[in-house]
Amino acid sequence: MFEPTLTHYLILAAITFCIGVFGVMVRRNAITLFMCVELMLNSVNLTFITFSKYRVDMDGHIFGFFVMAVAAAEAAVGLAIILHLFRHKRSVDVERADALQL
Amino acid sequence: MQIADYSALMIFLVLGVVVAGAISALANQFGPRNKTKQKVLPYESGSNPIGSPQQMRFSVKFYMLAISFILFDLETIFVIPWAVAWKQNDMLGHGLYALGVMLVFVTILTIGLVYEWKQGGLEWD
Amino acid sequence: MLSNLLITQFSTLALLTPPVAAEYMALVPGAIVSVLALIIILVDSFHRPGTRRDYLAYFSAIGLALAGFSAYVLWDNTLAGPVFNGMLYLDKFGLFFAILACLAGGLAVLQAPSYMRLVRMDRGEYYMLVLFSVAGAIFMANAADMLTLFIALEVMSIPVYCLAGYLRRDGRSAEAALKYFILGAFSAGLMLYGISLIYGVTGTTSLEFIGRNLSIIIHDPDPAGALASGNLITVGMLLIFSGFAFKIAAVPFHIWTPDVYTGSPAPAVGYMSTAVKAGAIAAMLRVLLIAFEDPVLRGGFNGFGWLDVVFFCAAASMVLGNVVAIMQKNVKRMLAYSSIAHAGYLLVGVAASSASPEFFLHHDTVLFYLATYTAGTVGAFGVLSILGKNGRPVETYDDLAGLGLKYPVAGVLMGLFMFSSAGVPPFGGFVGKLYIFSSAVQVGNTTGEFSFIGLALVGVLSSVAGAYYYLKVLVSMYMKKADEKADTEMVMTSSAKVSLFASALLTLALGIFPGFAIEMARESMVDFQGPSATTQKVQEQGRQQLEEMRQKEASSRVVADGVPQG
Repeated sequence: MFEPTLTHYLILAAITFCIGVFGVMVRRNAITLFMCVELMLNSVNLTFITFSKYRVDMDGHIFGFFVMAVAAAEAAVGLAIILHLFRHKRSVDVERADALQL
Repeated sequence: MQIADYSALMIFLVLGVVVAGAISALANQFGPRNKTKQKVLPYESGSNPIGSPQQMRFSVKFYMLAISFILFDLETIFVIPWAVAWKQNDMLGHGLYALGVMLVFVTILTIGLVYEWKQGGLEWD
Repeated sequence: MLSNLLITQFSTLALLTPPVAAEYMALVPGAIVSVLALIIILVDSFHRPGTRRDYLAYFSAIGLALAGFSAYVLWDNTLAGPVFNGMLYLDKFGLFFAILACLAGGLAVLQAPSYMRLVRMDRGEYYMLVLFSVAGAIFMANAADMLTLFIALEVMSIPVYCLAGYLRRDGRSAEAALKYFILGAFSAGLMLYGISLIYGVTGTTSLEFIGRNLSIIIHDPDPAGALASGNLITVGMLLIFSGFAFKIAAVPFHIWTPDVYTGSPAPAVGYMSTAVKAGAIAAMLRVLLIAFEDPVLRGGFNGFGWLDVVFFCAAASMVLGNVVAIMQKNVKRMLAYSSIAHAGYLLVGVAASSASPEFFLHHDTVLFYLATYTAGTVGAFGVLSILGKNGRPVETYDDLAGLGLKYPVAGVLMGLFMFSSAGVPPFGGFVGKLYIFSSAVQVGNTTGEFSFIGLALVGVLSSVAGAYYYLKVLVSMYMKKADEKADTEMVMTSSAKVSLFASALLTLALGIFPGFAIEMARESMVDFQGPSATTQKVQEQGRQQLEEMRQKEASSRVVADGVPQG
C-alpha cells in the first residue's frame, strides 16, 4: 500500500504554490488573480500542517489558523476592491485598469 | 475502522452515478426530440423568465451577506480551540485569564458588527 | 550529543501560563492606538449626519500623541528578552519605531480634513483605517515571532489597501487599490511560504530560536532532528526578504509603487510611504539580524547570502528610482519613484552596517534616516493635499505652476520639504544622507571592502541627480506663470496647519539639532534584543560609550554652570 511521506506532501504544496504564482502572472481576470493568491495561501497552510505533523509540534497548526483568518480578511477587502473597480470600469479585466499608466 | 468498511458506500456511489448518467445519456440519445421555444425555456415556476440566465448577475446584497458570513464564520476557528482548551485552562487556575482574552476578541468583533449595522450593511433593501 | 538537538519552542504548559503584569507594558503603545481605533468606529457609527467629521482628526491625533508619549515613557523601562511567551519584544528599538509610526499617522490624520474638503467627501473610515494600520506597524516593529510578525504585517497592510481605494467616485483610486491589493497579497503569500519552509527546517517560528537552530544546522553536518537542506534555507530566506522588499518598495519589487501613489489620496500616500516603510524596515532588521544572523547566511565577504541581495537591491533602487523620477510629469508619481530611491538609501545603511557584527550599531543610521524621511515626505504630501485646481487636488507640475507666489505659506513649506528630501543642508534629509553614506564609507575603509565605498558613491551621485526633480517642483511653483483661467484654491484647515508646521519644525530640528534623535537611534540599537553573543559584546561596548559620553556631557555642563558662579 502506498504511504504518502513528508516529501509527497511538500511536493504537492510546492506544485499548488507554483500554480498560484503562475496564475497571478498570466491571468487577466481580477477574480481569478485573487483566487490564485488564495491558492498560494492554502499551499502555505499545507506546508505548515505537514511540517507540524512531521515534527509533532503545534506551532504549525496555530500558524495555519492565523493564515486562514488573515485570508478571510483579505478576501473581504479584496472582493470589495474588485467590486469598486467593476463599478467604474464595468469589467474585472486587469488589462483594462490602465488609467494610471503615463 | 478500516477503509474496507466503507466499500459498500463506495460501490453505491459509483453505481448511482453510472446508472443516473446512463439513463440521462440514453434518453438524450434515443428519445424523440421536438424542440419548441416553450420547451427550451428554463422552468421558473410557470412564469416567463426575464433575460437570459447567462446575463443574470447576483445582486450586490448577496455580496455583502457573503462577506459578513466569511468574517463571522471564521471567528469560530479561534473560538472552538479556545473552548476545547477551556477545561485545562480552568484546571490550571487561569480560567479568568482565558475568559478575559476571549472577551477582548468578542468585543472587537461586536464593535465591527455595530459598525456594519449602523452603516446599513445588514439592511436587505 | 545534547548540543546537536534543535531547540523547540515551549512546552504546552508554558504556553498556558498567563503573562506577568510587567509584560503587559509591551502592549501599551499598540493597545492605545487599537482601542482608539475601536472608539472611533463607535463614534463614527453614531455620528450626526450633516456635520463635519473634523473632530475625529483631532481625536485621533491626540490619541496617537498619547501612544507616542507612552512609548517615550516606557523608554527606560524595557525588558530583556521576549515577553508574552516569546511573541513580542519590549525594547528601545521597537519603541523608536512606535514613536515614528505614531508620528507619521498623527501627521497624516491631521491633513485629512483639508483633503476631504478638496475632494468633497467626508467619511470617518479614513481615521480608523490609519489608526489600525499604525497599530499594525507598532506590533510589527515589536514582533519576536514569525507569527506576530505576519499578523502585524497584515494588520498594517490591509487598512492601507482600503485607504488606496478611498476615493469612491474616482476610478483611478479603485485601480490603485486593486493593484496594491493583488500585489500585496501576492507578496504576503511569497513571504508566508518562506516562513513555512524556515519553520520546516528549524521546527520553530520564534526569531531567536530560528537563529540558534539555523546556526546549529549550518555548522553541524548532521544534527539531530533537522531537515538538512541548505537549499530550503536559502529559498525560505529569499522569499521572506522579497516580502519585506515589496513593502519598502525596493527594486525589483517596486512595480506597484508609482501607480498606487498616483491613484491614492495624497494624505494616505504620505502615510503609506513612511509608516509602512518604517514598519517593514523594522521587521526586516529583526528577521535579518536575529533569525538569519549567522555569518554563512549573511554572506558578503565569504560567499553568497542576504547581504549581497540587500546590496544589489540598494544599488538598483537608488539608480532606478532617481533616474526614472526625473522623467515624470506627475508630482505624485515623481514622489513615488523618489520613495523607491529612498528605500535604496535605507538599504545602503542596512547593507553597510551588516557587513560584520562589529558595525552592528551603525544600523542607527537607518533609524535616523527614517525619521528625517518621515518628516519630509509626510509634509510634502501634506502640501499636495491642501492645494486644489479646478475642483480637484493638484497632481502634475503644471497644476502647481505659480502656486508658490499665490499661496506663500504652501510655497515656503513645499520648498522646505523638497530641500530636505533632496538633501540640501541644513535640513533633516541632508544629515540623514550624510550619516548613512559616511557610515558606508567608514565600513568600507575599515574592512578594506571597497564595494561599500562604491555603493556610497552611487548613492551620492544619484541623490545629486535626484536634486533636479525636487527643485523642478519649486521651479514650477515659483518661476512658471500661473494659469489665469484655472480656478485654484488652498484649503488650509487649522488641523492641516498643525500638521504642516509640525513636519516643517521636525525637518528643521532634525537638520540643525540632530544629536537628540541620533542618540535615541543609537540607544535603540544598543537595546536591540535577541542577537547572538558576538553582537551582544558590540552592544555592550556601545552601552559603555554612551554612558561615558553622558557623564562627560554632565560634567561639562557642571563646569559650564560653575564658571559664572565662580
